[in-house]
Amino acid sequence: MRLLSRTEEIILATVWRLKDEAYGIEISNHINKNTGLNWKFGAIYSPLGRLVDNDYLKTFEGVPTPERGGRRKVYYQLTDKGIQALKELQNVHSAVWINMPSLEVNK
Amino acid sequence: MILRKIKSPPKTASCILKFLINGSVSYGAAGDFYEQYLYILKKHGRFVAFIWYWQQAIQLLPSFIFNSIFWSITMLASYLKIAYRNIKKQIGFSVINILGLAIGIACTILIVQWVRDELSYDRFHKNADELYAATFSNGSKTTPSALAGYIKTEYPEVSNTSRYAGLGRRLIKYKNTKTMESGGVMTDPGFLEMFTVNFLKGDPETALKKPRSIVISKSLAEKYFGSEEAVGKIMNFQVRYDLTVTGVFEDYPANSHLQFSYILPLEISKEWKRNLNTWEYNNIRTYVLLNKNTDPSQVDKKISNVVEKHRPQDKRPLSLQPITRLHLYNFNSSGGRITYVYVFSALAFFILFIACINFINLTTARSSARAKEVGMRKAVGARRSDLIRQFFSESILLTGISLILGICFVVLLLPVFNSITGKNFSVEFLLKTSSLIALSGITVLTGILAGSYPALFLSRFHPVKVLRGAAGTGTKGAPFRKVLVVIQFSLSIFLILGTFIIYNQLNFIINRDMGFDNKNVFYTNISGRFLNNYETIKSEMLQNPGIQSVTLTNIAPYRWNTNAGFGDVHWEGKKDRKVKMVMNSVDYDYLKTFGLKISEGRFFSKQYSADAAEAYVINEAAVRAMGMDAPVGKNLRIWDMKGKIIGVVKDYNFESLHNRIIPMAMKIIPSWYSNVCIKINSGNIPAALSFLENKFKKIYPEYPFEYSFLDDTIRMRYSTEQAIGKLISYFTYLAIFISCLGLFGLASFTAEQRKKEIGIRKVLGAQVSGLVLLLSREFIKWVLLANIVAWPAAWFFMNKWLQEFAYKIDPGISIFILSGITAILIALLTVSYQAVKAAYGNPADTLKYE
Repeated sequence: MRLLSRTEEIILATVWRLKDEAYGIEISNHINKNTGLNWKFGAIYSPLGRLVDNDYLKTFEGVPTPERGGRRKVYYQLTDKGIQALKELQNVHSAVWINMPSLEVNK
Repeated sequence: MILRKIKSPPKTASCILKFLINGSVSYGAAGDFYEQYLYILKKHGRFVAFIWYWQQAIQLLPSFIFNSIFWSITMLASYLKIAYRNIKKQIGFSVINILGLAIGIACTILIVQWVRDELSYDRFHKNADELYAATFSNGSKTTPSALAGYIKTEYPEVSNTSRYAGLGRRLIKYKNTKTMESGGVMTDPGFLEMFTVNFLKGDPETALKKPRSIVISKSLAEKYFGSEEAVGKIMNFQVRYDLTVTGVFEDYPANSHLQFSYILPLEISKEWKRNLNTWEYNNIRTYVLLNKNTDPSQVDKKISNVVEKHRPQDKRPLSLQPITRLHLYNFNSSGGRITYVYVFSALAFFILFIACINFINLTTARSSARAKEVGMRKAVGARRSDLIRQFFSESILLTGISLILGICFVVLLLPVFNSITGKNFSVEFLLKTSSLIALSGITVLTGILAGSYPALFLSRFHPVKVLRGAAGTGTKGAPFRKVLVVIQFSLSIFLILGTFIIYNQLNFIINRDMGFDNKNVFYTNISGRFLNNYETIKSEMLQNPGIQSVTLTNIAPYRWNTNAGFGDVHWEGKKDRKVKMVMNSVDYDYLKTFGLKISEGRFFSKQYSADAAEAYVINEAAVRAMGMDAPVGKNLRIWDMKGKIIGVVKDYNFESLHNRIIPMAMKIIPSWYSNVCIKINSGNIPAALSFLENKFKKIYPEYPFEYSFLDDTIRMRYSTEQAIGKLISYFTYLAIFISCLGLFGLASFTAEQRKKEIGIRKVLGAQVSGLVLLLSREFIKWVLLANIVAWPAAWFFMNKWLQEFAYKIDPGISIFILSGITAILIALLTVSYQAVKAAYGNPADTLKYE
């Protein structure tokens, strides 16, 4: 299976972390706060959409609320394929980064 | 809490958001956005929330655009690569396809250009809509010289008038350059203001006021004056007159019924005793400029009997003919050049139509073989829209290549086309935006039509079914294709018939016995000097063994304009009969020189002294028109010349075969002589010519020696028809070629389809010839059907065209049968190649997979 790209990795990981609270706004805020990346709010929907199309994520809907103009909240969850992909990535990642010599260059 | 009023975000922005967000998450996204909006609305107020929302919408735009463009280009590059590979895979097919369409496009471009030029005649004048030519009811534009002045003073609707007369070949001289220029005309000064003649030097308003002026074209100025200033210089005209150049104008455009390279004021013709203000005879053209927004029919009513009022013998009604119609339309009959314009427009449309149909047919046929490809693509993830995009880009690519190739053809063929049509097209017109837009439109349209079968139909296939090979392909659209082929072949057969008939008619005309001997007849203009010494000169000439006969006349054969005929003829027993006649002034040797035959009585002869003053010889047409039983000996008076008829000459075609032979009277009128016709022995023509040249140089030393041969003049008289015949024949070949291409492609497709059937038949023992017949039978049926469609249409149009000729052939049934057989043979040839190839195929190959 092909490796996840960086964006996909970050999003999937965040979704996993957020467990039941993973919906658009929450995912976006979480990423921006914790990683310091300054992703625009709307920009998250493109990669989210692709992940759904490729079956890494599945959606389930919550209760309609007036704050959303009567629409339901759409929560995202990892599919088996998504979990698999993350596991693989983790393995590869640790293999690459474990015991990395320091990245400081001494003149 | 139920909100009484839903605070909704800006509508337009939400639409944009919905559009730009990926489809699978857009529902959730819409809700999320709304939530954020309310949050910010509560926290920071309406204005900030509004700005924020719009910001979000706009921020998504750049990446959306970039992504779509990037991916579109990437996919397009991929499609183009595949298209290119496909073309190479079936290179024969592709070449045929592209070639056919390119030829069609090239023809259309050329023809459209010709048509546009024809329609533009005389439209460049500023006053084009108000300019008219005074025309008699029989179409003649030759009017009395007093007409122009009269109309101008009598009718307030008339803004200006100008007379216009051609000059024959006249001698123009400046310093060492002298030539017999033929582009001269004489007009009233107002001509320069009525018609748009672009002056480069000099003032159009005053240029022709003085009688001894001349205005010349830029080319003439360069020829005589080089780079020197022309205005103010003195040019010598006809030895006797010195004219001052008062203006230089830009070369007059070719798309006008008038053509001239220099203009003299009409006043100057008074110097050679021309009467410029008479009603007695017609010798000049009258052009009329009406006031803006005047209704010409009102003016027509008023001027209709003006000529009759002043000269009662001429009862022809007069009317105004718009100059924009002069080039294209015959005055008193339907038709004229406009028919050719229609014919060629139709031709262009047909050819393009055939080419496009072909292209569509071939592409469609080929693409049904790509069902497997479609299945593969779908299996690896292509969506239907991707496939549609792919097939459309492929076919549009093909048509694009055809368009470029077609334009190349046009550039290559332009010189040939120019020489055939006698026009002067340059490559710039191709770059005119209107043409380019139209052409691109047509090519894109063809591309879309051609690609629509694979795009819309093939893309529906289910991958599994197709890969397994079970999908039924190509049966759809078969009746449509049959219809297209029949249409193509009908058009081609129609064109074949047209070419045959035109060819036959032209041959008939050119080879028909015109009733007089026109081989090796030299003729040229002569004037007083020659006439004064006529007898001596003539006997000197006859001493030369190369010269057979010499005669004088007023107008040589085929130089007549019988529209200037007249009716002032009176004879014994005339009663109320009306007759139109022309007067041919001849001498005693006219009969001998032209080999005419006498059918009754005798010709003029020196033996009878009264012949010179009183004798008339008339032609058979005159006898019939006057209704005489025994014309010889009867009295005849034409105008004020009384005489007796001494003989009747057999009819001969002294003008082109477009016209029936009209009544003619011959009389010896020496003052009218202006042409000498010399029959030369065919033995040594160059020797005779140099002898004549010496003779003429002695009589007219300042004039260059110029002459013509009668048979050349006759041939040139039909040059228009010949050019048109040539053009039509070329286009016919092209149409046939394109149709054959189509048939070829279709035949191969059918052969492909029936591969298995053929294989089975072969196994069961069929012969190659039997198989070929089997496959061809279907096509022959279609071609026969095409014949039946084409014959009536061809018959109808050809008859209409033949009406233009007074002497025409009878097409006869043999031509139709001949074209039918030709078409069938061509079709057979095309189809049989495919059939034979299929028939020789190894059944093992085709039946392998059963």
